[in-house]
Amino acid sequence: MSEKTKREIRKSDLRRLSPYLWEIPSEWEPGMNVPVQVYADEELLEDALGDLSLRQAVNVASLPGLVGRVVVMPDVHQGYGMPVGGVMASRVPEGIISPGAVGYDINCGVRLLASDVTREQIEPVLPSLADSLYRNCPSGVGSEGHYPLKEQELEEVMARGARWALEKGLAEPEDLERTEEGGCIRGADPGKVSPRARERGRDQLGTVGAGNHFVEVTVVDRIFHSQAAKRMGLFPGQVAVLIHCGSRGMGHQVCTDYLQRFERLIRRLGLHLPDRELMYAPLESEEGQDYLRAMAAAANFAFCNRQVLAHQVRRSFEEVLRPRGVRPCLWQIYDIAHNMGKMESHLVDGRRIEVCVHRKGATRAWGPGSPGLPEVYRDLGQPVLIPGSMGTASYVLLGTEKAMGATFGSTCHGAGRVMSRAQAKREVRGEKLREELEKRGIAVRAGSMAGLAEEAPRAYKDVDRVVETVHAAGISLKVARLCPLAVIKG
Amino acid sequence: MGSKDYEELALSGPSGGFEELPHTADRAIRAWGETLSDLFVWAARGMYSLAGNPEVELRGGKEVTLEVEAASPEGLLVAWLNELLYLTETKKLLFRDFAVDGLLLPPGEEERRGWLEDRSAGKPDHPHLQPTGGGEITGQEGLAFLRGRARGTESLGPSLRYIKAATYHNLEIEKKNGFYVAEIVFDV
Repeated sequence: MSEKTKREIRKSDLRRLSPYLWEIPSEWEPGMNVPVQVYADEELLEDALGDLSLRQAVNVASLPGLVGRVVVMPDVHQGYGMPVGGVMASRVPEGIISPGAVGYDINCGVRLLASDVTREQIEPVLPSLADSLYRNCPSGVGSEGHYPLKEQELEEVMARGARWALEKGLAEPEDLERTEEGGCIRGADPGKVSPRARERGRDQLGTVGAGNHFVEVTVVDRIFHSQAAKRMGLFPGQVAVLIHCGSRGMGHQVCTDYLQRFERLIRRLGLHLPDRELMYAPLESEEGQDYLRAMAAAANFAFCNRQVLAHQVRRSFEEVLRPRGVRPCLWQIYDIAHNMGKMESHLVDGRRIEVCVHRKGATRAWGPGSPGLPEVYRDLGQPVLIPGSMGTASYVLLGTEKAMGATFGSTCHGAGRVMSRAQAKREVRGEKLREELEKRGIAVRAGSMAGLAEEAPRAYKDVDRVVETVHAAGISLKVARLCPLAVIKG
Repeated sequence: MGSKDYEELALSGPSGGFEELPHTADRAIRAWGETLSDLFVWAARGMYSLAGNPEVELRGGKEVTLEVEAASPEGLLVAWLNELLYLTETKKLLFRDFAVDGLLLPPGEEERRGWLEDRSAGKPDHPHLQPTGGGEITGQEGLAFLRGRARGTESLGPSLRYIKAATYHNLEIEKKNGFYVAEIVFDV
């Protein structure tokens, strides 16, 4: 049954649980195993009803072995299989793992570096900083990094993640402490990654890629939570850098390889799927275990990728500011994943159980006291990084205790699209957009003008509104807002 | 070169086409073909049109041979498209011409789907694989298998749009009015 012939979801089908939370109960459609809970205000809910996001979330809710609820974030948009901006959790060990609910870009994520440089110091050298970043952080289709890997090195990157970069002098020890999972997911087995995926990864370490990925120079423009901002070292007028990218071709190939393998398993077991892209394997199956190990290897590659890019960013700051007598210091605020499957412990219906949390276009947002948080943030909660659309604000948030109980410790991941890429390209000219951004004092370095047009700010939801929603709903707390000074993309 | 060359294919078919479909975040196409092989060729053309396929000379360029297998015809279509993307990324080749030299479906698959009923007389649904000469058929028992070719030029430039993968999202190959039709969503 295709989505078109399935029952359409109307606003009246949703129960309003609180001003920012809506529910499609599990009785709404036969086959649903858990309810779907949507975080949105009225307008964002209308956006979500405007495409197939909620239909896709209902499909997800009918997968076997799920617990609690399927959570939909305010930045949700229609994806493939699972909507982008969705969270689901399956019970360990009898639950499932679904590569389509993790996404092709395994461990796509965001890193934020803060600096001791002010806006006034950077503005005169902004064009040369943008040029330097464009050189040092290769972007675009088929771009190759400055760190081509030999087979043995690639194995080490997949096994050790950002730790590899630390050993090579491309990281500070604090960078790793301030990275989700310390920059290295346990259980990675490079042996479960195909030769094809390796081939795609070999030349791509330290590359940004294309699409919505970018390196952005920003300035802190508002502080909402002074205690947390102080702890992080954030202050108004301060220059910071956001890095948004993932595991590149390696992760895409791992997902592709395992979907093919899972399809054979699905056929062999005669399982019914609400959508082919929601293919899954039992966690305990050989296929499921192999995928988890390969996914972890690709996730480690992504952590290392963002680490190497962070090193390159530091290099660019040095190159540009040193000749002016400034010795810049850039420290890491945090690094988070927003496309991942993770084994975590959560309270479900009053009982603490092990679950496999799938976050696709959703960010881990652990509350204060959660194990695994670095000492510096333990009593505050985990920093969450929300990149806006190009040319708009980005946010630093904190995870909350409420998120732990309500969303498997998760929150939104960005602005979320409302306009198709094709429409954006029809309506926006890349060159004109660049002019507009430059007029506003934002330096743009992009390989493709068509690609720039597709990422036009008006193709996205209002990030301020998305963040207000998660803040008001209590699943994250606002700490600081950042505004762009320079954008580097493919 | 295999059974037909590209110039011949360009003149005689494959008959079919593609169009882009609206999608909020990703890209999607509808492709169709008179035969299953035609559908595969048009789906590949559609995918590379999304990537921003520049006009390249029909003659010349590099040719690659592909073999893919999968558990279903839909899986085979996804595998074929993703294999092309893999070759584009690793060999830096932007493909323009495609040919399917052989396509095997699991026994009974076409009957089960009712694809045999309205097959037009005289035109085979897909070229039969030649087990000798072109190499052995490596497809495993019960799997769909395809052998094909693609030709392209080394012209990956900044104007190219990145396609991460062809997805299985709601993918169903259906036969309508004598054409095989599929809607494919790409992760971009």
